[in-house]
Amino acid sequence: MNKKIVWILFALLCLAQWIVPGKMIWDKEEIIENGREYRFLVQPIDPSDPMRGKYVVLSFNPRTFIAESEGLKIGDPVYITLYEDSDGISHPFELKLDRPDEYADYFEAQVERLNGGEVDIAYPFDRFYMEESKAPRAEAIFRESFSDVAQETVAIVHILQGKAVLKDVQIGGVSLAELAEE
Amino acid sequence: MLTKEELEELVSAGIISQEKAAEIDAYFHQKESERPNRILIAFGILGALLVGLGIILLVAHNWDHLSRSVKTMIAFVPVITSQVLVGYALWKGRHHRTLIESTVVLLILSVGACMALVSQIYNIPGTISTFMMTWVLLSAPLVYIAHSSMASLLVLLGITYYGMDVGYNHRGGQLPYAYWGIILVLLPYYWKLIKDYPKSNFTVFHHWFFPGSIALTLGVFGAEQEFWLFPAYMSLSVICLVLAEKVRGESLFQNGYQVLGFAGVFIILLLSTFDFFWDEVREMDRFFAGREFILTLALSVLSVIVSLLLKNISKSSKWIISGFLFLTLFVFGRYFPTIAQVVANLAMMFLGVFYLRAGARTGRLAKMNLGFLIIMAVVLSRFFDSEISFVLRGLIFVIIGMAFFAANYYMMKQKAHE
Repeated sequence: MNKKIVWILFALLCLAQWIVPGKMIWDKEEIIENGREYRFLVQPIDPSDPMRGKYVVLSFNPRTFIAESEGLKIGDPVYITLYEDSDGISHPFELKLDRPDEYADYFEAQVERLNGGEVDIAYPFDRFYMEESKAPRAEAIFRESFSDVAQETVAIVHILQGKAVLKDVQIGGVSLAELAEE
Repeated sequence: MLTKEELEELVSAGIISQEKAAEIDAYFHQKESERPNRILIAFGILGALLVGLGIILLVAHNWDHLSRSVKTMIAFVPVITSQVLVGYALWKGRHHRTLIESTVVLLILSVGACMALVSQIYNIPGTISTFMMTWVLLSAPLVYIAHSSMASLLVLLGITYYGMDVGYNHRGGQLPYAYWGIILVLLPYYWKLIKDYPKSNFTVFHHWFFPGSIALTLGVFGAEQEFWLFPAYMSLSVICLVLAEKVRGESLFQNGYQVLGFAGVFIILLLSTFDFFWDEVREMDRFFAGREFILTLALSVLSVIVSLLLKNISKSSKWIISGFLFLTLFVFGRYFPTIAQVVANLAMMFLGVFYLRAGARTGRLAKMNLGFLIIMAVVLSRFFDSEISFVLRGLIFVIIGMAFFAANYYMMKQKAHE
């Protein structure tokens, strides 16, 4: 190969190696910056394994929606509309196959399982990464919070045009990372 | 390479002049110095792997007290540093293999670490296969830009992981097309490696990684007609053995095709000596249908094409014929399962005796013991699906075991005698 071409290709590759992660950052920053903040109740999850590696797996309800599932495949995008209760907590409401208009409250999810007229979805914000040393403590705190009815575990999620970013997980209004530090 | 004495001999015999002798000597010296030092390359790559993996582990710690913007900036530091290093290696020139291979390893691992860190910072749940695919796409160009064998091997690893993850775990029965695409992209590099450096360690590794990767991923074709995968794997093993005739290394380690191909033939033939195997074949809903069936036919035809392309049909015809015989047996077994099972048992025994005899005749212990191994595998397997008394089973084993010892002892004595 011509030396010049090698250098051009290498430069292009270097650029791509910046742009791909850069684009990921850009997209997420835009959601955090301009997206609306929603608060979701985190559901108690299997207490034997809430931690996988260095992240907390969050579980939300409902996972299953009744919908016209004909033509749907696993992995297809679907749209979940939201409604907010008087406490400021958002709840998933309906599953739509077409993207709602941009002023609607909704997020984009993927079909995880299909069962007749029932569609199970994968929430796009069900992972909360933690620092390694805090992980075990966070796990304990996480578990305790579920036995304490007064303390709600809430996921803070920013959503912009259906795209979501999980910003924080709070128990009784305090960030899980902060709680694990104490 | 000629020794000094040989050169002097040629000069004194008047075949070449003193000047020519000096030129030849200089040529070989030059060649020697150009040949990369294998140990240096190995340590260079090992060092780069350790540093790269170290960076990934540091990233995995997930530094909570750093702000988001600091973390994102840190994510790019290893990438940019390694890019500069690869650039420097390219500037120094292609023949600096150690420098190129080790910096490329560093860059590939840094790119992975960077993406992992970004996923952590923004809590991106994405599947591992999407992550792998992006990583592979950002690394694959290095194979050709830097002529890097390590890049090729790492991309093969990544794409195999991707293919298996998509094919076996997700989205029921979806074929990982991208896997085959990347394999096709890597093939020209592999071909060049075989042509230019047939004896290089990197080429030898490719002889293992390529068939290994395809063998691991072929199973994703399995859907409703999964049992057709057995003759498909048999055909793949035959293709490996056809290629093995071409590769022919000095040791088994140098010929991954031979080892993998033979292992495939051995395992599938052994499975077909069991009655459950033929029960399943008989109970298949439809027979001549499904993508697995087409895959089997395609691979069988491919084995012939490969052999024709390599012009080694005379050497490899035994494998190709065996492959087609197995395919015929498979079809035959659909209607006459018991006969097919008996034939499979006989074929396996024949193979065992063949290697036993060939090994004994040529005095090669490994070959002879392979024969023993095959016979023992068949006998052992028959004890699972038959109702022979324990006494008889015990006796048969004692006899085979004694024959095994006696034959080995005899052969070793013969060798010592020689």
